[in-house]
Amino acid sequence: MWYSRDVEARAAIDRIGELLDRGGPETSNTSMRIPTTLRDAAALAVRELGAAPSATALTTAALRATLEAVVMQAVLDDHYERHPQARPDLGDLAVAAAELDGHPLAAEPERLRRAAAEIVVRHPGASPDDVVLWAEARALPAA
Amino acid sequence: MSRLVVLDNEAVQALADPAHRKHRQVVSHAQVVASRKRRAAAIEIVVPTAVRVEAGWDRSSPAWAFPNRLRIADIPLDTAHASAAAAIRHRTGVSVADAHLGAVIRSAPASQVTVLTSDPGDMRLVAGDRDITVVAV
Repeated sequence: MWYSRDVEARAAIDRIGELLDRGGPETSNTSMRIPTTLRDAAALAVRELGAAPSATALTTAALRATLEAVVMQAVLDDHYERHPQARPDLGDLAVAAAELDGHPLAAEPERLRRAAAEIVVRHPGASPDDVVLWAEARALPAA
Repeated sequence: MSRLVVLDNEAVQALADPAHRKHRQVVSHAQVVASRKRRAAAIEIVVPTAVRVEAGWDRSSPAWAFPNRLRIADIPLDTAHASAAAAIRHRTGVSVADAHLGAVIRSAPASQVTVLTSDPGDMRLVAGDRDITVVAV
């Protein structure tokens, strides 16, 4: 049963990926209902802030970005299941976040790992960026 | 602010092979990118196609299923990139893959560029005047 579910999920991930890559010119009218307030906010963002060429373009871009993120996380979760040793811990992720941003604390990975170990005790849902911020705050001299 | 994360040959190898000693490090970067994308940050991972050739990354091969599915976009060696890469290679003597990487870095519309690489010196060389963040893999 679990095997079949995993295979179906992988097939869905691959199919979503194919559809996102294809990106053809055809469009569809949908009967999708969205909250009126959200529709009005999107229209205002387009008209007054130039957020996108149209509300449709804004909605499409947001949907594409969300699907990209969902697929990426599903692929990573599947990889962690198959290769548990590949799953990064919060310390690894904090170091990676600092490295990606060129943050000075990237040069002090052990400080970041210690900060991750400290913060996770009180905030189990802390993000890697939370850890970097916490480590940065800890590094500041007391006023 | 938008960020482009560019992979070099070693980063690709490390990502693809769970037994590679840097696999977990490169997966950590992919995980941070995925988490930020989920929070609607403008961040993308890309690979120049010449780097893909050097790394042996064949998108039609099941052996590359994991990186294939990670939404890492190809940056093709098109006419403009080929000309820029030829000039970089002529001036610096780097490999074709690194020259393509340099062309991608220099032409990237993103405000921030991060390169995951085993050769930080060469990446700074091919980046020219472009300010980049280099992560040693």
